[in-house]
Amino acid sequence: MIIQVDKLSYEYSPNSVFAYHALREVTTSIQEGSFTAIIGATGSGKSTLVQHFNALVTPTGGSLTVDGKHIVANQKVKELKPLRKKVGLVFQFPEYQLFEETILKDVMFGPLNFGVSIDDARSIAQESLIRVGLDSSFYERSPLELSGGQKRRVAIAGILALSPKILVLDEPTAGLDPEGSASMMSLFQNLNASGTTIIMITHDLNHVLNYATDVVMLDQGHVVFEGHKETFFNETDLHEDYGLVKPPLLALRALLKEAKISFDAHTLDVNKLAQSIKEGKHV
Amino acid sequence: MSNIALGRYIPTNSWIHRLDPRMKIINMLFLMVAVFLPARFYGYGILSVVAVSLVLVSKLKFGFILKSLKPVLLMLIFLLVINIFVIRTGYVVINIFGLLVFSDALFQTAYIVIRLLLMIMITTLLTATTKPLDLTLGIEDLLAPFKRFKVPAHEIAMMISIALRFIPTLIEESQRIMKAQASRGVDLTEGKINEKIVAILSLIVPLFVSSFQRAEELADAMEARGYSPTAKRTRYKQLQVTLKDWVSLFLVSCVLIAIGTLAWFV
Repeated sequence: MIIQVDKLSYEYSPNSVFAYHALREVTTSIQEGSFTAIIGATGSGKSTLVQHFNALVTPTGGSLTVDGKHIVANQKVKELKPLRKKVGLVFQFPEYQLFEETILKDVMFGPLNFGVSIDDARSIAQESLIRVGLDSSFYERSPLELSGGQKRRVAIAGILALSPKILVLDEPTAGLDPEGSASMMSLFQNLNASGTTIIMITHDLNHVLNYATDVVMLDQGHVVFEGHKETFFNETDLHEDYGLVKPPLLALRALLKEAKISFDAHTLDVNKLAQSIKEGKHV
Repeated sequence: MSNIALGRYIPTNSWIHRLDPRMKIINMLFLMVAVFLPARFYGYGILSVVAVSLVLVSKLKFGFILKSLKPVLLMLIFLLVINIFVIRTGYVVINIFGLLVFSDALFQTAYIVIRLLLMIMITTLLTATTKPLDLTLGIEDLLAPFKRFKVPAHEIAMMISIALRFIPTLIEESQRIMKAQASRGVDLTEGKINEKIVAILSLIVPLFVSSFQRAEELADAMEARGYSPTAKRTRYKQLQVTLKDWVSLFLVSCVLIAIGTLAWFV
């Protein structure tokens, strides 16, 4: 377990008219090397939860342990700063964080803040930019003249440049076209394959189905599900109970069942499903 | 967002909340005039009692009012220091190692402090009990008679309401950017001066970029819906002056007259 959350509560503006409990005694854990999807309706506390992971907010109750570092209520943020390097957090619409004159400088900004030398920062930045698919012709351009999708790649490169052990993504594909979104997702899948733990907030169950290994579902500040993706899709109807859009594969399975066609009822992989229909195998 | 008390609307739905915004603005102006009349300590005593009772009636917490006073604290201390050095009339109160502190310096500072505190209390009362949009409606109506002198009442009100509308959005936005940059290792609270400058730049540049973008989008959206500042517009919300508004005006006028008389005779 790389992250262990224990009865964590968080309240915005405590003791005022605007007091609001975003998280109520949340207990969950995230496995090292997993690709964990965090899902739930707007206002369920997803963003607040992930901001605890790199100590942008500290709990108002309970505690959490991130990669061996124990965080309790009202802890001083200063001693938690090293956590920011270990846990990279990409916010929703991260293109708003770009501010340097050139793309290369912007990506170097993070490593420089953590005391990396200029030369090292430059080579790290170049590496990260290649990773997100931007070549050397972009280095000296202003981040403001890029398209929305390219800006987001630069912003993500800026976080990857910290070489985080855990990468937290808040709806990384919001507002991207299907192609851009697919290539973004395969980037994260590659990172995950090379050992980075990925935690992703998403509203797209199709992404959960295709890329995640585990699922944590929140509702009104409570955990309503945590476990493997297969358990989530095969053994519960939670996505239906909470009115989420059914992924096409599940819709297809339902239609197949109706048509009394035999197939592997447990697979979440399109190709395997097709194969099982072909073989007429009923599991 | 919770740290900013100045100019924030607090929905406690008190008697003052339900007053007509136009009347509230006029009442506030009257009280402001009263604050600036040279009515000495008796006058300020009366005004303080009035202000405190208004806070009680408005059901606002005193902690909230104190919070909005915090930003001026530094200014008040600065003022006291300046006055100690500049004003050299009256009798000597204390002698700090040869530095003579005169009574008038203390009195002058006390006057200004009380005036500022009362002023902030009264304006906070207005903004805390009136929804920003009602406030602009009120301003627009009060400016309407000046339209004859080519005062663009509607445009001013529209600008104010847009500005007010975007304060929380900008606060939220800046907090989001601050968090995003903090994730990249920015530390706004400590570091050397040149590190701090970069830290602030990393906040301000994105904030400007997104503000201009927002402004453009809003202008487009308004134009797409046929907005024209010169067009004759109707209103969904009609303001109505009722008995309680007249009562409030009467009470405030009484305070103003009392203070005025005091200032005249004392």
